[in-house]
Amino acid sequence: MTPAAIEVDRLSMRYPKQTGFFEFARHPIHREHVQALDGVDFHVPAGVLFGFLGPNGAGKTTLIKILTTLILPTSGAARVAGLDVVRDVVKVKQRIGVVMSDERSFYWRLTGRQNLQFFSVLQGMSADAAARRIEALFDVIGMADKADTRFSEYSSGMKQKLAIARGLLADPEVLFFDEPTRSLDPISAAQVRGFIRERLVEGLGKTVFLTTHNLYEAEEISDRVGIINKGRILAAGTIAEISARLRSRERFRLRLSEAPPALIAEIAAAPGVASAALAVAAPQGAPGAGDAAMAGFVIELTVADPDASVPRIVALCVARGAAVLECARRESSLSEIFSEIITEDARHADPA
Amino acid sequence: MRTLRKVGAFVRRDVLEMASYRTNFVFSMVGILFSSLTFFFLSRLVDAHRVPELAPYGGQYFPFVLVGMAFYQFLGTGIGALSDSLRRAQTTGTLEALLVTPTPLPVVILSSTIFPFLFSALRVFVFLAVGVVVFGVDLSHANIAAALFVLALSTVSFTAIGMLSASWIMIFKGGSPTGFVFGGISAMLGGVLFPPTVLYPWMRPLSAALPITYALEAMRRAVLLGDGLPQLGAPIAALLVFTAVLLPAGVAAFSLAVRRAKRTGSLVQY
Repeated sequence: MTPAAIEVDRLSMRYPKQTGFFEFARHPIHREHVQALDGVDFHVPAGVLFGFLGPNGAGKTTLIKILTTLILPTSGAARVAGLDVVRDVVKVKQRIGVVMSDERSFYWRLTGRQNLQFFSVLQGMSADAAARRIEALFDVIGMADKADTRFSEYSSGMKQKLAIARGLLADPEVLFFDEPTRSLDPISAAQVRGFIRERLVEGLGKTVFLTTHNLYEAEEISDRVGIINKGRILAAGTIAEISARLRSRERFRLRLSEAPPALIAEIAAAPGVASAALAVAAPQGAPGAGDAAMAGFVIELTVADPDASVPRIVALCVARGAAVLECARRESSLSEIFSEIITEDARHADPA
Repeated sequence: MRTLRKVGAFVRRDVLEMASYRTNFVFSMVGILFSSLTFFFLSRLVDAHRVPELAPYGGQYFPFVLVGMAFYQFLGTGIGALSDSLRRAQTTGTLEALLVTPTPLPVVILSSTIFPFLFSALRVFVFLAVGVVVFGVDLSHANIAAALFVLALSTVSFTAIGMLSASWIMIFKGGSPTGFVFGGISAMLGGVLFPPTVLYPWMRPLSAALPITYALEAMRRAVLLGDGLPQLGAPIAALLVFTAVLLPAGVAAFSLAVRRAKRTGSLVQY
């Protein structure tokens, strides 16, 4: 079994809301608290890219700050590279690299090389080793000709690449990325994604923990994903594993010769149907309908018990005079899985 | 050795940043000349009246205020450098990047204050050099060894106050009363611009409760009168007591504040 690079065990984080002195003096004991993490449990095997997803305020940043030793958890435990993030702070920091998406984390009046030289000393590297490493890293990120340019003159993509180079300075085993493509244009974002996947994970065998809002990004490059909402992990594993866990509800694509609103409403109300919606409306023979084989009305269905529900729906359509041109099971995209998990969680939290 | 390299890296970083703002540097130095000039003309007015309160410091106002201003700048750095460095790293967004390296926070913050101290020392030197070269102040009797001892002791004492101030800022983020009390009020009660003996009698105990009062007195006597350590026993003893109380308090407050900020997740917030 592959050893875990990151192990998180019933981790919770509860902290008082930030107040000024006068508020603190008024209520020194009774203070409002925020439950940022609530019993979070998951592990990340070594050498994989773990995409960590969640809506704003879900607890992604709090978790990454605990794993990088910036803040202390209230309870539970977390180990990175086999080391406890509370007890072995310095050793953990020697084994990790953190890539921040905030451009302000550099000194803008210094050149890229001067920035890396400064951070290499803080990493405890010798001057010779640092000089060699910095030279190599500028080659790796494709910025050898920009090493002696001021940071303020870099483009957003170059700044992000320099942040990656800084994260790689001490050749860490585990790399943390906090929304690495947040401020990048689509081309730069694709380059950074490709670099992380191909160079860092597949080429160098690094373990990468990456938080993102971008579901497409997570689906494109992650080996495994974790979904967090309101401080709780709702799902963790490969996309196929998470999808399989949701198999009590499967998605089907139903293409009909016609689909009047009344029929769609009847399908939606049928037993075992969670949702039914018209996705494509291209009547056969209509101008602009395109390929005749693709024409028709496509209904996206989510059903609880496919073996019982689908034949019943097909029979209903035929009875209403609509020819069934296609009926196929469809794999869920990460976006759909994410949406379903978050919606389900909200339904549990507020049944009304 | 490794820690020294880290301190050196911080100094190099700050020198490079300052070198990129050359005009600021030039104006800062020229400003010293103009503020010295202001006090020089003020001293012509004061010295015309032969103020008896200045007698213990040689009797002339300009040397008195020159040493006071120069030294106060240095002590101000002691009080403000820690919290300023912390605040600057928080607001510029570099603190998180510094804290994820294996370098401990106290080393990061203390190393960030070295350049401000060096820069203040340069300003003190320029202040005194302007006084001697441009305005003919006689510092030939100065007891350099005693002055350096007083400077070192005062720096430790004021840095301890700076630790209390930085701890406050780490927890409450806003302006620190420690900095205000020991920074702002000290200038008036501690005798930067006039001897504390001219204060109202009810104000003098307040003046006596501030370390700057003893630091300035000892420094002026060492620089202007050439007093050595035996003659400076009383103010130095007072400074030692302040240091013995403030240093452990500052270190304890700073450690507690760091621990609390890590527990509440507010270390990098501002």
